[in-house]
Amino acid sequence: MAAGASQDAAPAIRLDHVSKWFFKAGARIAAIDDVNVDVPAGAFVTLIGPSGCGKSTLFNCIAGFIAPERGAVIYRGKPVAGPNVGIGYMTQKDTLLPWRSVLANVMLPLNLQRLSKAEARERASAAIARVGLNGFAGHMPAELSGGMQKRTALARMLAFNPDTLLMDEPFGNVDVQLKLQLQRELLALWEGERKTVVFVTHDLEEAIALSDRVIVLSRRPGRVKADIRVDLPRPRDPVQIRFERTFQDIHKHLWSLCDIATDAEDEHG
Amino acid sequence: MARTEIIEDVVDPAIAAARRERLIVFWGRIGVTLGLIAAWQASGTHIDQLIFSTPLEIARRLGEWMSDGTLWLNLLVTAEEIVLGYALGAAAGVGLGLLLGSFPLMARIFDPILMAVYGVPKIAFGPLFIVWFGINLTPKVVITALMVFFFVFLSTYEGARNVNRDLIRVVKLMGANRWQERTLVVIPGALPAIMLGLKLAIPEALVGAIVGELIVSSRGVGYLVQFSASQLDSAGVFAGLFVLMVLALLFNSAVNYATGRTGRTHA
Repeated sequence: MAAGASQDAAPAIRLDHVSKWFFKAGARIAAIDDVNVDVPAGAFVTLIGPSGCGKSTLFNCIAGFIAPERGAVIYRGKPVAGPNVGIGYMTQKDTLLPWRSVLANVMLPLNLQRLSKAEARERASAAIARVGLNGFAGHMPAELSGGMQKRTALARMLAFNPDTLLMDEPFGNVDVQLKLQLQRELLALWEGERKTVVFVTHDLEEAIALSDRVIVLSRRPGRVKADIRVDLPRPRDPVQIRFERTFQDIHKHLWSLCDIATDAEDEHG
Repeated sequence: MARTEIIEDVVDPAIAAARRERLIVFWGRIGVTLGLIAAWQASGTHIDQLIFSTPLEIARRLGEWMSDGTLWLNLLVTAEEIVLGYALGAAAGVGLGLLLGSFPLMARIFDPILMAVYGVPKIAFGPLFIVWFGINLTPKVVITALMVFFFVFLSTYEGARNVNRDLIRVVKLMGANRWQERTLVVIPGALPAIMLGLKLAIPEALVGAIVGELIVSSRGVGYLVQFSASQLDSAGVFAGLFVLMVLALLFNSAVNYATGRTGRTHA
């Protein structure tokens, strides 16, 4: 936010005519087809779309785990080549190291940044406190509930303090109440620090409640079908916001775009 | 969180049942073992003692070996072969397993060679090792190491290969280099498999050392068994086997203790 006007103009992430395909039984299958998206610094952008529309593929392109066949992923002005070190990555799957305690897991990115032990411990403890896990620093991940594991992952990301967060259905496996609570926490954190967030979800309400923009991808091959601005005031409460008129209008509009009823039939196709 | 009140100091019936079961197993084991030994001893008048001996006879032979030092001398030789062979084989197995587990291309190149050697019964290498290394300690250590190596290598390799790729991705994005990926994710992730391999390799180490001694030796517990058999001294053969049994149990609990300490982090 502190950056000058010229940098504000450049997006944090630019997907520039990105196409990606796979080969299956000798046939070329397009996963993503000519996707163009600009994510401004500090924006909260969510991708939605049917299963197999290439959301995760797109994600892995931004993270630098895979390279697009055509086009380029530009991160802060530079094309991504190889793992995009320094972005935060959170998925539906649990990625805590099971042999490390909560504290040691949260300290991991700080250890890798070569911070002194004392400073790493201090920052990690602060992050743990912020997600409400005080008193659980010494627990192993297996001893925690699913929600607490997600919070630990969130704390690790906070301690890591990346400029950009990639979140691939991070709250996919949790019950509704916990999901709302985690959304609330995420929003509070984001509103404090205004990091660039690219979020993926199947949950339309989640998409609207959190984002500045919702990008709807088509069925395979994934193309940008719509790019919808969410003009809702901030700070938001993910529960209260659902009752706003604008929210419901956008919700209706998204449903009509997604046609979930037919898409749901080939889950994980 | 929620406060739990202690209402009454009672024993959980499930715990009580488990305790009872443990007692039954404990005394059951002792009873069955003593019963078998007693039956063996009692049948001594009906069976050919030259072939089967009796528990008392075997105990007497063990006593002789202990008092004249035969036992200690030979036990030390065998223990040395086992410990050295196990250490060498385990170190090589863990090292190569981690290396090939994290470099799949290299693993594919080495696979046929390793599988060819793995397929040959290790005992068949015995004569070759005697030609190469003489008849003393070295060939037995080498054969033991070879047997231990494959057990530890295969389990380490599988463990390293099956480490969760997502964990590696996550630490990569946090800026870990290749070395850090190994030390932070691959090695701790493979640890349970490594521990299992180390445990399963113990009986192999004993087989290696004893087989080596049976092929050619002038000392060691295997030699005692061989020598007693050549004298038609079945009490001596059984005494030797008993010593091996004790050796295996001791070694097993030593490794259990060691792996228990490091493996606990996964609980």
